[in-house]
Amino acid sequence: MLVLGIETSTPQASVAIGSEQGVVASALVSRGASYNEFLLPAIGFCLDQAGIGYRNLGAVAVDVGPGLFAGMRVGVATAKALAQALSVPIVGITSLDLLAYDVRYASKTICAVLDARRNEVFDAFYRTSPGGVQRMTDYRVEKPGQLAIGIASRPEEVLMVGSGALLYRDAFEDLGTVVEVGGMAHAFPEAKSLVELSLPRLFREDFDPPDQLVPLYLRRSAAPIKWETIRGTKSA
Amino acid sequence: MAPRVLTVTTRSVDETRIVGAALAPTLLPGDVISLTGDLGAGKTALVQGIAAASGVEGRVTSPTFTIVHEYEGRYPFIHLDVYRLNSFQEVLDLGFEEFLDPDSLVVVEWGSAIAPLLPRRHLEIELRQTDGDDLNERFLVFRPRGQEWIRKIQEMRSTAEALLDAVSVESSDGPRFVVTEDPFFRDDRGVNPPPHQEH
Repeated sequence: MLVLGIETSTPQASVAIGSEQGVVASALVSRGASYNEFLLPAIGFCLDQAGIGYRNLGAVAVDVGPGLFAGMRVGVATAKALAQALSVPIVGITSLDLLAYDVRYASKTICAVLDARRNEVFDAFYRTSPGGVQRMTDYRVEKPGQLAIGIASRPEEVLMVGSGALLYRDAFEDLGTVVEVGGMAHAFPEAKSLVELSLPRLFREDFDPPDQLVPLYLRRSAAPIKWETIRGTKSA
Repeated sequence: MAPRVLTVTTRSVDETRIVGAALAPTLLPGDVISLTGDLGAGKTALVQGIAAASGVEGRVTSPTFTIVHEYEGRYPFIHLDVYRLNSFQEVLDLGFEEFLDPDSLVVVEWGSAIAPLLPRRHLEIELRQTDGDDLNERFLVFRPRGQEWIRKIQEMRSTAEALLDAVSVESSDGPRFVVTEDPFFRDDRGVNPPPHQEH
């Protein structure tokens, strides 16, 4: 089964088409064109290079974040539209799961960390398990310092991967030798991992209901804007 | 005690634009400006001045009803207005955090209403109609949030002084630029000072 993977939830966007036999085509761009300019042309390019058409796709897999707000929405909306138009199943996988999956051969606890901007990171902890990784914590958004405390409180060695680990590596490496920070190659999730990680779920027919697949927003704010005090400051 | 701020008096919409144009050369990508002021206070005029002097071609209009306008000048220029939004979630749902990219200049009308979402370092400008007889007269209060904004305001002031002197031949109704305690100061709880402390 050919799976189209769409990853636009980080500053590095990518598209891949592949099956259980491997990736047949992929495209990737960092900090270049905006997602909506990149995504559909990139899918078209991958299809052309693979010598196939949309009708050959058997499923769509999409990175649902946490990540960049606009990117997540472009990716999820595009994936859902394609899945519906092609009448194929869709699976959503989180960016942090993808990052952790990429380093699943580590024999340490894995902490996947993405830059969340505003001096915060998205993170989750994983343990390796046969054939993949298993998430041990909730997805969180927090200050790098808070995450550093969380890591320091763990007895075991931790491998940190992702753009957030690289950006705030000083805060984490100050913790001593228990922390290793993964390299640039693992800074962002990639669509080819998305294709690979989606296959077991597709074979299990563990699809996401398209109407319920939404980006994973970790920053929510129910707080109303206090207009009565703000507008009260206007000149009479 | 209220912090000391620069208040600029303008006497026409064009003068408000000139002040905006004087601020523009100091701005760099990543800078965020928050504007506060009633309908008609001159927020859009100020932004028009900033935009024109930042290389934005074409017409800059109020985003009150369209919420976000994006322009291309020397840098990407994002102009948004949160006045019609009711919750912080609605602001986040605009992708607000990504508008605050280090690549863009961002002007937020009513930004003080969503202060927790603004970067710590930003410039707040409040525009008010004055109590004088001249209905076109406005106070523009510049409140720096962060050291570099103090410097930028000083640069803006010297440019604006030269420009305003050049356009207004006989406007000598007192000083245009006054550094005082914040005339419209309110503390973080948003409480107004008693009226006798104003002006």
